Amino acid sequence: MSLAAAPEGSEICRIKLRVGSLCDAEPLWLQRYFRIAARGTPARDAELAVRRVPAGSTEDAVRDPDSAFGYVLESIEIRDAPVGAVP
Amino acid sequence: MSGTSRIIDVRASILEDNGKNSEALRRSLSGRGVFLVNLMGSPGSGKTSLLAALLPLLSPPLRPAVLEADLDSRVDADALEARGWKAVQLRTGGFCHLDAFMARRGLAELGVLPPEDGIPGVPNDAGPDSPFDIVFLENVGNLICTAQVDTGAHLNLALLSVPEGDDKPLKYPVMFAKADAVVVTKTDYLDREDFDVEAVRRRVEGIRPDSRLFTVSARTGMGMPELARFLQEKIRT
Repeated sequence: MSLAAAPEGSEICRIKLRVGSLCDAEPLWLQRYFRIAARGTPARDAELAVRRVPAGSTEDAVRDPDSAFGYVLESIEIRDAPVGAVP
Repeated sequence: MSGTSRIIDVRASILEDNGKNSEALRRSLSGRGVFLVNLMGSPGSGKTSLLAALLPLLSPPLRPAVLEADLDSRVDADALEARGWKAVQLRTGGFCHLDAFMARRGLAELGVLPPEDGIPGVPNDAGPDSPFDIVFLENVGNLICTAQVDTGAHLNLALLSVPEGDDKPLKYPVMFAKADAVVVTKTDYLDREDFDVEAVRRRVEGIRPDSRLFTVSARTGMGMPELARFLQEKIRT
């Protein structure tokens, strides 16, 4: 999704990911798998910034499961290719 | 020298694609007159035993089939096929749940859908009629992940067996929030367990007021006709 959102020729330097409070994703493993997935792509040197939603009540999780279990790609920070640069 | 930096807002769920796949799958199945039921519950909650007792009550006139999902083995599919039912085993490998893509693959294997049908943006292929009109998707035994991922089913059933305890709606509320009906299984154990059916009813109503509660025993057949009638009514509507 990050690659699809990045303009052609740009380099992705930061990816902000929001992780639900009850998701079982461990930050260490997210970083590890991200490094593997990003190899050879414009995101290869990107920082993966993970923000975990603070845990709420059971009622909150039921009312809004996405806040508890969702993975949301919030934004990407890109660096445009310098003018005249060859991609 | 490097170029300028800027931030692009995306704000999209990583599971967005599965949401689109699920809607497309539901539409496609409805167009073919096929009703998909997702069974969720912990390992050992009695999902396969429930199906073995339920299918004879539905067929005829309904033509049921089953998709079995497990990390490995064909144990459940073999058990149902030995009783004469068509069952396809989906091996999920390390995956702890099914998604719409995997469900569609199994439905194609059953002959319910042509392989390319049920894909967002792909026009429905008329194809041959489905040989089945109700398909049960026995999800991986898991009370957490199965509740988070839409399979494309029309109806979600959560199973809770008596030996598991009546506190599960409190501990795993999201699954019970996603369930259109809760089926308390293995009620033949009620006289040996400290399990309060009314407490489960209250707890489920507190999470999902419109959810139905059924109490059944696949071993004795108790409560199975009521559950069969509920499904028949759901299909009609």
